[in-house]
Amino acid sequence: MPKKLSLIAGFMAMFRRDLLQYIKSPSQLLNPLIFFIMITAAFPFAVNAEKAQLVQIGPGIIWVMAILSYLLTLHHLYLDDAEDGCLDYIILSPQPLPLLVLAKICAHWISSGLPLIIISPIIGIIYQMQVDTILIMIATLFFGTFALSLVGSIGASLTISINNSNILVSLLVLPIMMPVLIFGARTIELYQSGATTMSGLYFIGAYCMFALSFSPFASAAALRIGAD
Amino acid sequence: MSSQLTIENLTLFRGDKCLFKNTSFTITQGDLLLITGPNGSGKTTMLRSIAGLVEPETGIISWNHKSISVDRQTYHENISWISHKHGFKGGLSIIENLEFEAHLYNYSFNRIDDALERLSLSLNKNIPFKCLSAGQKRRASLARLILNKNVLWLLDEPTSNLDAHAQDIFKEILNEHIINKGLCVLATHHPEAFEDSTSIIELS
Repeated sequence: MPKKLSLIAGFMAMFRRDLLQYIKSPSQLLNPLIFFIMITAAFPFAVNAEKAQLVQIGPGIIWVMAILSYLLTLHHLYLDDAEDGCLDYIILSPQPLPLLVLAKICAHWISSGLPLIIISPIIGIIYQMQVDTILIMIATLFFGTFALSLVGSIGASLTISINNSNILVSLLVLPIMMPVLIFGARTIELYQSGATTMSGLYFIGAYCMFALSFSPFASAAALRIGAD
Repeated sequence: MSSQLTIENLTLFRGDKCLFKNTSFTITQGDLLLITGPNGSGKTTMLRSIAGLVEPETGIISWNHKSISVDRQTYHENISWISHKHGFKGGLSIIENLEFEAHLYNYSFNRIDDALERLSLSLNKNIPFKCLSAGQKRRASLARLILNKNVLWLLDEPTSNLDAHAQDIFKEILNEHIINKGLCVLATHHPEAFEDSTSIIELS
């Protein structure tokens, strides 16, 4: 009698394989992170700003750089699988494709979003942020970067059959990333000025949940078309 | 239940070029169908459209009398696919790649060692896939056929890069599959190497 298909085993296998892949080729993981650290850390030296100015511009710069470093990672999300033929085997597996896509998105977030979140307190200190402001920044980055992985997945899957699609992915997903950028940066600024911040966090959380509800399905459909 | 793959009036264009038009055939258990033709004639594309990876312009592909567009998952549960791209991650070893697929395709990974032994890959199982020779990569691909135990095999040039010994092993595995009432559609440049085929489609 054949073994029963385990969805959790399929999800975890895909998640583990992608993480192992990122660990074994650390340049994919480190390059965007180093880009993020270098630019955000260099900015205060370049503008020679006072403490008050740094506090004011810090959230915006951190969020813009987070998005730009994220864009560097997106085109690898499915392109490598398409080039080495793994994508065919993933599509032809009996596991539901949206589930495997979600596993890939989660592994992408662990390798691209989580390192940004872990390093962000140091960048926050450079921008003269208080401890409680850093905590708010971490909360916005936590939901925001996961939302970026989800919406970025749609752009990456739509462009797998196009050569040199890096710029195209950025052009496609940048407009739909704008709400995350605006609310992410603005929430931190509002907290620094003493205003209420929960509405901003609620918005990013809701955006993240909305993207979670459709991104795996939209990406899976785009991958099936792209494999054609 | 007897397994059957039916293709009806399959037509596919690439740009302006018609690769095949109104192609129809049925294969049942124990059948080996060869697709032959020169380079660029559409062998791989036909195989990909049979697998459901490429959407044809017209035509119906049915598995056990049910269109695959209606029940794609059941169809995929029965396919073993080998293409000219190996579908393994270069940075991972053969064993890591096959363990991943064991979860995806729901086969027991206790059998992986036996499959690698049969294909003379036991000594290379922990080496990163990208470090293997072209022939070893192809043999690693063929390990899927032993592990999956699926009834329908769709194989694109399965013997490319294989030495004479590995080709013999592959033919042995293929014969076992056909004797055990499996189905196989195989695209090849060398139809003469498969004397036991039940039918041939020649693309021009």
